[in-house]
Amino acid sequence: MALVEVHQLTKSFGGLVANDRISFTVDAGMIMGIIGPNGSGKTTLFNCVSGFYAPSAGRVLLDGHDIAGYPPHRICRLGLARTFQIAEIFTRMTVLENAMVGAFKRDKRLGPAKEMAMASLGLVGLSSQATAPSKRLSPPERRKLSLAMALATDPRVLLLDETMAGLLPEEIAEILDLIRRIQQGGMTILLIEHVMDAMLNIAERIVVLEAGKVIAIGGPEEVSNNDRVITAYLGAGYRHA
Amino acid sequence: MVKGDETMDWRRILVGGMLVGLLLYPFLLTGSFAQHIIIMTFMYATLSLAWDILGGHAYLFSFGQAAFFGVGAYTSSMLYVRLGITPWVGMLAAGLAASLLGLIVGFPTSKLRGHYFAISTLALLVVVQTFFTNWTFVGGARGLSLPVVTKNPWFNLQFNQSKTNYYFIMLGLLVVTILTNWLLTRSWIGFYLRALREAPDVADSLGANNMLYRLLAIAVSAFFTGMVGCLYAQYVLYIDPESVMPLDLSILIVLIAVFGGSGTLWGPVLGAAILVPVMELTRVWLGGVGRGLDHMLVGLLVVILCALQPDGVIKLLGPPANRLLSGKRSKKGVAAYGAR
Amino acid sequence: MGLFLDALVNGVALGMLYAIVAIGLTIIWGVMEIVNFAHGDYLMLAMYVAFFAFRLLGIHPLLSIPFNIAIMAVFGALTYLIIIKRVLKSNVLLSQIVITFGISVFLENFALFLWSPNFQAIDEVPGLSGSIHFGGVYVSKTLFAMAGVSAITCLALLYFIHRTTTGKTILAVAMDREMAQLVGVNTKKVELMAFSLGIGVLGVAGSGLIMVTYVSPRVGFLYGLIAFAVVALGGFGTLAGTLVAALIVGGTEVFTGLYVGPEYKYMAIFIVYLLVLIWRPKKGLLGW
Repeated sequence: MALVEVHQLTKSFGGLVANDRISFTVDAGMIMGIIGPNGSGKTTLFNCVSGFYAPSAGRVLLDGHDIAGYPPHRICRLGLARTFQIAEIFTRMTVLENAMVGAFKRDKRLGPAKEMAMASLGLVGLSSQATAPSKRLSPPERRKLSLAMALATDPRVLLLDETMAGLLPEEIAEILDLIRRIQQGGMTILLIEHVMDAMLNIAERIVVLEAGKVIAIGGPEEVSNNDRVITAYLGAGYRHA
Repeated sequence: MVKGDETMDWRRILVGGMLVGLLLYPFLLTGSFAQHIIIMTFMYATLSLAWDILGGHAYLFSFGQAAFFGVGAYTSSMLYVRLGITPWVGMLAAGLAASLLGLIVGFPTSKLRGHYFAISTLALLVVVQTFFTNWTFVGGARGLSLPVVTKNPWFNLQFNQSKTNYYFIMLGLLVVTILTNWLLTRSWIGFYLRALREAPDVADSLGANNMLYRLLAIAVSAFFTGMVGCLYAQYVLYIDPESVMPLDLSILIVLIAVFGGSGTLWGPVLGAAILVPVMELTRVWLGGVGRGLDHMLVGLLVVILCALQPDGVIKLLGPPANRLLSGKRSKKGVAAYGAR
Repeated sequence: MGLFLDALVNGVALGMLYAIVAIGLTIIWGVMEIVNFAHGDYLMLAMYVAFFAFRLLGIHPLLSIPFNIAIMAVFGALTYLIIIKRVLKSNVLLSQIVITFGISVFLENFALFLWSPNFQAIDEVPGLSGSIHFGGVYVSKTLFAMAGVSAITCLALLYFIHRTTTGKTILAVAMDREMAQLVGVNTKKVELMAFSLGIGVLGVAGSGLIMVTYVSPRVGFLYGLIAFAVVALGGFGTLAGTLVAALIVGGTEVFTGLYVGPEYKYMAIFIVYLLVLIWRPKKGLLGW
């Protein structure tokens, strides 16, 4: 059952077409990856889906409801949350307070919000750090907090923006494990990732972008053997069997 | 935990002492001027606290508070003078009118921050002040006089014999403002405001509507400022654009809040407690010779403070006193509050 | 027609003056990212300098210009060294905004204390009494002189910034501070220069303005605010843009005063300013 559908999504900035008639479907409970060389339009796509850009054309359906052009806070209320790559947490608050900001979407009261925030922290393994100032967190811990904040809003769809960037292999494995657990809880996940191994490891289906267009959609095996994909990433001379 | 207990006792004695002092003050010092100083202190403390809702929480530095003050003063005064409506109702109307102005003004400026927002509030103040100065319906530049009434002092919110009642009413308003500020800080609204000012995109994606909370902060700030305006009108019984909407007032409010410590609960109160008596006493002791010295002193003190301790006087008092006075939750953060 | 031309000339003259004030502000903002809310009050001081130079020493306002520039530059340098430098270090935005307000309040009331709130003016500037008459327009000689002096100063400033090495260094720091540091520019010295320059040119504005209008302690803030409006409009990123904006503002002020009513002339400027700000909030203000 399709939870997120992107139909002919187009986004231009002046003369530059960053997203060109992109279409794909994400079924409920699926982990879908988005990959592509730098500048291929992945971030723009994310921003269009999460409300930071209004698409120039096309539709974004969340559970059948067209959310294209809605502001981020409204999309959050409809059940879609995302993480950010940089400046992704509130460094002047404690870890728990960060998660509470997300939790307030569900309940405005201090007590319940705190509980829900603690639960999210528990999911990502940051419970012990709850009262620590968030600026003291290490990079992988920051990613986890960012995840917890998004989870605290109890979304149905989670958009993850390069969560593995700059992490060590052990840390990546940890996060992958976390993502799987989140999916098992019923979450639908859409993620952008540059770390190819991680992506091929976790995604069930992958959308490949190049220069704003979709050049391939398929399972990890399919996609990594796709000629066009290989050319896009490595150049024409690297095709292999 | 012995240290903590000691601190708690200290705190109780101090707070208790201050409360008793506050309640007894007008009965102990019955001189008109002595009471006037404290009334003014309460007034500025309230105004600065109201400002701090915007400045300390949302980082929206408004230099146009005088517009809210003036609109409040005019609203209640016009209702009273023209329609005979009791200033108590007028006070609410004043708050609402000021909030309305705030919303009207907040909407188009919603994308502005920092310096840009500050300057636009300045410009708005000039526009509003010019408007009122030329508006003959409310008396224009000549202002509005409230009739001196001797009967029904409580209905007319006018006390001619002594200032004691003004004292307590102003104090009451201050307390309400302090409470509001405190509740706002620890509520989801405070969280959202802090989140929005720090990382607006992240906050947005978590469900915080920038426009909504911004306007809310402006409306609340304006509301209390407007109410104080009404009280002021009832206190001095004469208002004109020059006296209730001057740029000076706007600036002074900010100076006081920052001097005391913006972003803390007691900072603005402390700032008023220090600067207002300094101003009033300077003005009285030096009389005509010392014209301008009162404000000059404030300007000087603020400059010195900003250069040396930008976080305000409240930080100067050191960590233990800071924790006592700043209303900050314990080091554990607000999370500790939720613990039951 | 005569009135219109008259207003036009007045507007241009006023615009030239506003340009000086605004350029000073822009330079300070560009180099240090501090909005000097006390700028207008320094102008007020410069006006008093020129006034007393005339009253007590008999120095003609035009002749007092170099002297005024020097004094104001010293004030600027002192302000920077004692106050601004410290607050820049703290990096707390609110303090930076508030401190110049503190300076403003201090200066205004200092002037009030020293010189009383009375309006003071030079009734007759020797050699410049009466008006020039051309093409049906009467322009008072003092206004003409002020406009002339302002125009020369503006052009000199533009030349200095864009053509001299020192000027270009200042421009470089304003454009990209880190880059400038990387190529070995002493940014602290540049800050000092910029602040002194920004305040120093007010010496010209002060001497010019005192020939044309009165001075009082409160006069400053309004000119300061107008300067913000000018910088906001002129935020095309160039000083020349500021000049153009200043002319527009000067014109708006005079024409509003003429056709709508003198009470509304400032209101008009600020309404225009607010509209610009709302329509182009990022670019439109203090863009260097």
